[in-house]
Amino acid sequence: MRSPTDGPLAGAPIATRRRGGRAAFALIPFAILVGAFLLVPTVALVWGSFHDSNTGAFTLSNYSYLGDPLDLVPFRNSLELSLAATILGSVVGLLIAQAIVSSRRPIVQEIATTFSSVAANFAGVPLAFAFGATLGLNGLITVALKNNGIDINEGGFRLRSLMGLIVVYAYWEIPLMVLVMLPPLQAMKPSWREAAEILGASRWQYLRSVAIPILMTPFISSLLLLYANAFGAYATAYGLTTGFVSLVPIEISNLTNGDVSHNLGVADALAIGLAVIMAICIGSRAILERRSTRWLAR
Amino acid sequence: MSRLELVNVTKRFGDQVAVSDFNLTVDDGELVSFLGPSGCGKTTTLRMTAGFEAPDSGSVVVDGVDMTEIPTNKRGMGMVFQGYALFPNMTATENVEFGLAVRKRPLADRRARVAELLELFGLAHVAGSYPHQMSGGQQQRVALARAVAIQPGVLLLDEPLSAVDAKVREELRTEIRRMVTQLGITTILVTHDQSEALSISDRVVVMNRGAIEEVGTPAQVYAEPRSAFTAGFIGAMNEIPVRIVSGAQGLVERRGHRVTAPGAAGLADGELALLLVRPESLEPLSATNGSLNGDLTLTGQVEVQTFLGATTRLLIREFPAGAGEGPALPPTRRIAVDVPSASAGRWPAGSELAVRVPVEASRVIAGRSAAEAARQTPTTPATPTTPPGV
Repeated sequence: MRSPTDGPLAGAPIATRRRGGRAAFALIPFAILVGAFLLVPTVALVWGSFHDSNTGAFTLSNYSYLGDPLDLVPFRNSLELSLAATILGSVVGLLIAQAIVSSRRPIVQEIATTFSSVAANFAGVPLAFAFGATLGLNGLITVALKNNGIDINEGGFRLRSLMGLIVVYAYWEIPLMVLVMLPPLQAMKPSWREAAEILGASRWQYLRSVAIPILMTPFISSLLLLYANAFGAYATAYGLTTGFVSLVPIEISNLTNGDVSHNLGVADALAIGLAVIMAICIGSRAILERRSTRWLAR
Repeated sequence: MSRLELVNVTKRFGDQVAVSDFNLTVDDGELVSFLGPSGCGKTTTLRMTAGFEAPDSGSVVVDGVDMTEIPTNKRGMGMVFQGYALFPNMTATENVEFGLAVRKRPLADRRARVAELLELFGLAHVAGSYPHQMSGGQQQRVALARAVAIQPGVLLLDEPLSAVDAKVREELRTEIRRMVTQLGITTILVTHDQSEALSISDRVVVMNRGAIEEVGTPAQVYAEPRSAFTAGFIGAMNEIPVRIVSGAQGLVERRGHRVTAPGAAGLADGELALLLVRPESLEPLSATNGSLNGDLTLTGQVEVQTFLGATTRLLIREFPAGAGEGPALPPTRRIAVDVPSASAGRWPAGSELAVRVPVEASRVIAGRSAAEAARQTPTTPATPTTPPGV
């Protein structure tokens, strides 16, 4: 029989053990949530990706897409789209975040943060509709520009294309970048710049030796977040293109819901590929965040 | 080593005058403290010296060269910031080396200088540590080492000990004094901690509302304050209202008793003044109120005892003046008397106590009381603080 003094809390005061027990009890809802929405689906995905969806027999054929360049098109499109949206979102977002911090006006910072929070979460079908209504073939802005002699479609721009998706993705990637870069930029101590300056450093020497190395970690971490965010996006792309552009989430949807191309095993295998990329992004970000937190702790 | 001169330096922020017509000369190798409450302009003056703020008028001169228009990174000064401002992405070695690296000193020289400084400041064992891996005291030492690594002409210390605990603060005080003496660097220390300023400075500049209240050695500003503000800000000080009987003879009167007191000479006859005396100078008596061997005595009731370690402070409420005790004077605030803790039990709260005011240890000043002066400055301590060990 297990003694009450066994285990990790052995020897701890009774009050501490009680608190430990209560804390563990409080974690049960979280554990249920993680189990139901992360562990069980992951296990189901892995299992499904190695089994034929019709016969239930073990197979590696679901992963055959890895060896076929044509089947890898959704991955290539998703990677390119995410990369472009991430670059656009990060550069513009970083500049805006720096401008907000430089303004040193709390009201500007509050308004910018509030707007960014809303915009970063405005996605899916409503966003697709909003863009369609403004920048679509007969969108408000498209028509207005055309009436003034500027035809954006003539220049090759199509909303229902990869380029169009990049613009739409940037709509939430930019504010997301603002949101995630504001705290590290605000945590940069003016005294670091002053210390560098009085030690003889020029503005560039300060940026190169102090500011950029300190901000590099949160910046890369933000890039990973933006990338993962774009890579996993589904509803906006589907709402805008109705599956016209081949992306990993859309392909998974087609394989899951489609009448012709229905194949749950391949869908699971694609989802595993997507999950691996997401896990690399999120995992790397978590590691970088740890270092960034130490450096920028107030 | 450099000679620093601040000439008629003035700085305004909007309508607020932060520093007004500030004049000071700091000699080669001298350590001067700017002491005053928050908002008195001491940090602004330091930042103008460093070049972080431009004065509206006046000039900053180092060794005869006007530095006012010279950018901070060309001034050749070192500075230790309030929160250390160590670069978090660099180790202790890299932090100390930074100033030498931006000056493009040869690598071998840099390494030798850094090793020497890390040894001097007892940091060799944390040479490879990042700031977040070091204690507050270690970080402060790295900040000092970094500031002196470039062999600055002038070293500026902006409340360098405010973020460390009391024990480390005392150690670092001694270390700063030792380092400044050893390296002979002209140094300005900004602090609101009187004991810090008095214990390590060659001279103390007491500042109030953007202006210099007075300048003197620690002993001078402590023992012979020339203003009520200085008297009230530095250490604990009793203010006893007196009337000038004869300014020519330095004679003052209190409750019908007349004594000759330092500082009274030259004040106008009939003027109300304050007799300043430190709590440790007052001597408990068993005699009565009045004058004793040419000294004043005060009597009252002990209200509170505060244990301070070796001494205990008694706060006494003086008895009101009786009939025939001379012209009315403003009431005396609580009188603080420091007695050895071993004998403090003789005067419990509620007991009566008479104290002798030795005139040789007191000083008469004209004008408003320190309390009134302090009220003009929001953050001035309202109650007397423990006297420093000088």
